Formats: sequence, C-alpha cells, structure tokens
Amino acid sequence: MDKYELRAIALSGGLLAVFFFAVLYNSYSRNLDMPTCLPFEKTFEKSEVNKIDDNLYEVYIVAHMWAFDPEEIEIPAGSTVDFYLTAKDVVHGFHINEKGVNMMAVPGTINKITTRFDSPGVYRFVCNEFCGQGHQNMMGKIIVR
Amino acid sequence: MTISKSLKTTILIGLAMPMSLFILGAYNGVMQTLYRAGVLQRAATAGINYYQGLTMHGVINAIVLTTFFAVMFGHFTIVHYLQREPPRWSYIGSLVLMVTGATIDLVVMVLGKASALYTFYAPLKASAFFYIGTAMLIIGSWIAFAGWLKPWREWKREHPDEKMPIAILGTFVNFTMWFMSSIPVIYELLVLLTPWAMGTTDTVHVPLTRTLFWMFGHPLVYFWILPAYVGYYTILPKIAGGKLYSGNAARMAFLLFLVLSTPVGVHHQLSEGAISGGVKLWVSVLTFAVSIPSFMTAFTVGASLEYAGRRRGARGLLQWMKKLPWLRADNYLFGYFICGLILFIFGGLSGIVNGSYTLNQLVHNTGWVPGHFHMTVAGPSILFILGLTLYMFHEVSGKPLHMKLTITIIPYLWMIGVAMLSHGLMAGGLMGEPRRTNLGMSYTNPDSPMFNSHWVPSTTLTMVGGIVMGTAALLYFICFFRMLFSKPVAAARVSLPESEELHEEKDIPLLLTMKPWVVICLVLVATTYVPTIKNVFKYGKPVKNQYQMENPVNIIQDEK
Amino acid sequence: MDNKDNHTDDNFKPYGTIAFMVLLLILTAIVWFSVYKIQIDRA
Repeated sequence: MDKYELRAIALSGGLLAVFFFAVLYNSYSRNLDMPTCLPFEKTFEKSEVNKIDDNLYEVYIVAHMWAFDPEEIEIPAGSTVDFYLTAKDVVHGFHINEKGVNMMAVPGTINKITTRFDSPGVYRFVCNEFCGQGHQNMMGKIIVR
Repeated sequence: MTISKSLKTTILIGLAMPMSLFILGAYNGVMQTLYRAGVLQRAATAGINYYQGLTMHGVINAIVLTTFFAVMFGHFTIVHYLQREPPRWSYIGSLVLMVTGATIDLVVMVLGKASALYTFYAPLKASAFFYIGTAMLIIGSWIAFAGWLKPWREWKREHPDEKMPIAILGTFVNFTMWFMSSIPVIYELLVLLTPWAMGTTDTVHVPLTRTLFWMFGHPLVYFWILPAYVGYYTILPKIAGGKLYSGNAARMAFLLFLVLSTPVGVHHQLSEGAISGGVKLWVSVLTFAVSIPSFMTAFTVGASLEYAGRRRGARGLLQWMKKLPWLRADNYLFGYFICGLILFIFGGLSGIVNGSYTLNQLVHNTGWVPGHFHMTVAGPSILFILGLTLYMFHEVSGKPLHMKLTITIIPYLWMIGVAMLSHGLMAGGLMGEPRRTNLGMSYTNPDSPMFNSHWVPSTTLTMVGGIVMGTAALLYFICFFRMLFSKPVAAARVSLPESEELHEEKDIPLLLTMKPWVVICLVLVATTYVPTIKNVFKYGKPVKNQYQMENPVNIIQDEK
Repeated sequence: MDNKDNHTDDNFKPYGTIAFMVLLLILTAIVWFSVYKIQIDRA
C-alpha cells in the first residue's frame, strides 16, 4: 500500500480515536450518558410525577397519539430528574432540546435517562418521531422555578 | 460493445421509469420545505397530505430510484468490463419484479394507504400491498445480481491471470452487502408486517421490527453511495485528465465497506430503550471505523485529481484544484462528480457526529439528520445517478443529448441548493427543530400557541435551498425528457471511460479475493446483532397495537 | 509522450492532497468539537 495513503489512514484514525476518548470522558466524568434499558412492565404505562426528596424527582411519562402525559411538569431549580418513558400506541420521540435529552418512546419498552435542571426557565419538549396526523401538535413543558 | 434489443429495452425502462417517478419525488421534496417554513399552514395541498408526500419523497427517491439505478449501472458496468451480457432470464425477471413492486408501492402511496414514511415503523400501519411491493422491488434486484455471476465466471475462465476489474469488485461488493443486509428487511416485511397488516396475527414486537429494519437501513445507505464510489475510482480520474492514484487503495476501501457497513445498523437506534449501552458503544467504535474507507477515498480520489491538475500545469500546494475541467460542456459528467464530492465533505463529517455515541442525543430525529443525508444521498449519490442516467440513456438509446450547457450547469446549481437546504436543517436541528414534522401547522405558524420563532430563519433558508434544488431538477427533467422523446441518431452501445492506474503496484493477495472478507463481515455482524437481538427480547415485549396515521384508536380491539 | 508521462508518474508526490486531508481533518475536528461543546453546555 502506498505510504502516503497509509499516512492518511493513520491521521484519520488518530482523529477518530480522539473523538472516541472524548466521548468516553463525557460518559465517565461528566455523567453524560445514553438512555438506559429497563425490562418492560405495565406499571410504566401509568403517568406519574414522584417527588423523592427536595432535589430528586421521578417522572413517568407516557407518550400517546398526540400528547404527552404529563404535559406540564413543575420542579424546583437544582432538581435531578429520572425520566421513565414509554408509549401506549405507536413510536414517539421525547426531546428536551435545551438539556440534550433525546429518547425514543417505543411501545413494549421502557427508556430511562437522568438529568439535572440547574437554571430556572421553561424547557419545552417535543415529539420528534412521526406518529400520525397530529404529530406536529405534540409537545410539553417543564417549568423550573 | 453493441447490446441485444432485450437488454437495451431493459436498461432504457430501468432508467426512464424511476426518473419519471422522480418528478413526483422531487415535487414532494420542494413542497415539504414550504410546509416547514410556514408558507403552507395546512395538512394537505393539491390532494396530498404532508406525511403522504413525505412518504412518497422518501420511498421514490431513496428506495425506488436508487435501487433501479444501482441495477442498471451494474448491468452497464458488467457489459462494458466483461464484454458479455448477463442471461436474459436474470435481467428481464429482475425488471419485471422491480417494476411491478415499484408500481404497487406508487399506487398505494398515491391512494394514501401507506403514509407511514419510508421507514414504515410499526405499529403505524401501511397497506400490506406496500410491504409486498417493497419486498418485490428488493428481491428483483437480487435476481439481477444473480445474473451477473455467469458473465463473471466466463470472463474469469478466459482471463485467468487478470485481476477482477475495480469497477466489478465495487459492484459485487455493493450487491453482496445489499443481498446480505436486505434479508432482515425482507423477513420484517413478509413474515412480520404483512400478516400483521392483513390481520392474521395481532401482535407485533416493535423493537424487533425496528432492529431488523436498521440492520438493512445502514448498509442501504452504502448501497446508495458505492456506485458513486465506483465512478469516483474508475471514471473520474479519466475524465478529469488524470490517473487513479492507487488501485490497491480502491480495492481495500471497497472490501472495508463490505465488512464495516453491515454491522452498524444499531447506530440508528442509539436513543431507543431496548438495546444496552454496551452494544451501542461497540457499534459507535465500528461506525468510526467505517468512516476510514471514506477518508481513504477522499485521499485516493484527491491524489488522482491532483495528478490531473499538475498535468495541466498546476504549481504550488492547492492550485491543482483550480486546474480541473470545471464547467466544460464537452465534459459535463465532471460537474456531477465534483459537486457530489464537495457536498460529501460536509455530509461525511455530519455523519460522524451522528454515530458518536452520546453525541447522537443532540441530533437524533432533529433537522440535523436530513441536513446530513441531503449532503450524502442527495449529494454525491443523486448527482452520480443524474449524470450517469443521462450518459447511459444517451449511449443505449442512441438518442442525442442536447442542451449540453444546461446539463453542465445543473450539478452546480443543485450543489448550491443542497448547501442552503442542509445548512438550514442542521442549524435548525441544533435548535431542536424536529424532522418529519409539518411545522407550518404549529411550530412555524405565528398564530399558534406552539410557535417557535427560532425555527423561522432556519426553515426559510431550507425553503430557499429547496426551491433552488427544485429548479435544478426541473432543468434536468427538461433535458432528460427532451432526449427521451427524440429520435435515435446512433446505434445502441455500451462503453465507459476507464481510468488507468498511476503506478504499477504490487499485488496484495488479500485484496484480490472476497471470501475472507465475507467471513469477517459475518463475524462482525454477529458481534453486534447477537447481543442486540438478545437485548430486544429481554427488554422489550410484543404489543397488540395497530394504528392508521389519521386515527388514534387501536385497530386491534382487545377482547378483555 | 509516454516517456514524459512515466517521468511525471514516478515523480508525482501527492503533497497537495496531503494538505487537503489536513484541512479536512481540521474541519472535522472543528465541526465535531462544536457539537461536543454544545452538549456539555446543555447537560
């Protein structure tokens, strides 16, 4: 193989390795992680907002055609929230853009992610997977005081 | 070489039919940009619902057009390089299946009975005819591939000491990858979705169907780009006035695509629940790896073009880029290649972001994703399709190609349109703008309580880009159909420009056989998909769901 | 003509392409780390 070609491959591979370690660093040091698996149970199909203590909440979100349940969630600033997500009918998305939380709500599965809301404000979340005629009307708000 | 009447008819139908459908596909693309920018604030226009139009756009452009082209370009490549035709049963059988399947899909989509988008995710229901039609289209393409093996074996017997031509290797790698990876989607379509749509079964395991689709869906995108890569390695250096910098590098890139494009489908499922973090991390590693053959292509093709530029007298480090046959009506194909390459720089980079494990969450299902893929499939892939369709149709029909100046300008205009379209989509995506959404009804409608003003500039830029692309497409249709409707002036023939290799390279035996690579491919697919399928059954369960897109009531009524 | 070609062929070193690749990789890093930074800022 041509030596310049090999150098080009090595340089590209090197940069990709840098990206890989940057991503791992985020996962381990900054607790920035992927949505997690949980085995499916019917109890997750009931929506709920549970306050565990002053700064820890569990929100069980159920996506359905064409709204989220709950649609509005109020929490104090500085709270850490565990989001549990499922869908009752077809596949939906759940995207809190300002927090970088982006999960699919797939019927028959549960998805979970944890995030912390430090600053007060209104955080919109939208459905970003086509779910039928009313898809463009499907959004909610997290109000952080 | 001259060709038989039946192969000639096959190629002409195989090029003209999808190009005619592309009118509808392109129209629906431009329309979407109008809806998304809030210029159209309603559910449907001229009898076509937004999501129905989106389905037509995706299925026609990304499944019908691309598959037909890969097969027709494959026939053309086989005939030129191996100087013999595939057997009649294979190219006619393949055409009949593909045309029938595509027609069924078209009818069903136009009737509004398949508005589930080109990914047809269950439990949203499309007509069983749609699933069957799509399966027919894919299986038809397998038959074409099967037919190519005979001329290959004959050629090999007559040329025992010659290497497999690079164009043939690229074609065979592409179709081997395609055949292997379309098996899961054929299973999904015919075994899982068709009985469910017909009411024979009432449960569907959604994460399983999604996993099977994406097992196909990622190699699908390589199926779209690899014909263009065959062109970049074997045609472009010649028409640019240069030589292929390294034949070994070209072979290695193709073989790497075979093993690395097949296992990475899970990177389209990074934000789903039923797949573990471990598999997602491994698939991100493999996704980084599959970008390497593309970086190699950038280097090899770049060096081939640099050689061409220096032969024309370029000096210094980057002047070779200028000294290439830009905007020459007697070399119209060059523009279709080079504009695709320019777009692919940005398309490829944005793709790396998509596959970067946790980084995916910033972009998944946002406008960033179509921004990315309009710079890949609607960049190099479609430009190669457009350019070579003109070229092949002209050669095989013997009909004259007029309006050469317009034909030469089209790819540059297209490139500018895509740049604007994708820039708007990617910027909007980072601001949270969702894809696959009729924004004009809510998010970009100032009278709606859901109005998001941030998404207005991004969707407006996208709309301008879409209109520019639509204009380029309109010019193309005028040129193509003018040729189609004129009288032949020459005999039918098949010939391709063939690039010479720059260096006499030492043979690398590993690059001269596909067998070990197929084995590595199967091993890698097992490393991602055995754990994934296990996860999907452990964490997910089937559901008794089936929904029409217009109706939130479950079609399957529970007997409880 | 052939002799001239051989001479050019043997002496051709793709320095311009190497320059292009370096620029390409820099652009890749810029794009990638910009998105990376956005994610950190939001988390």
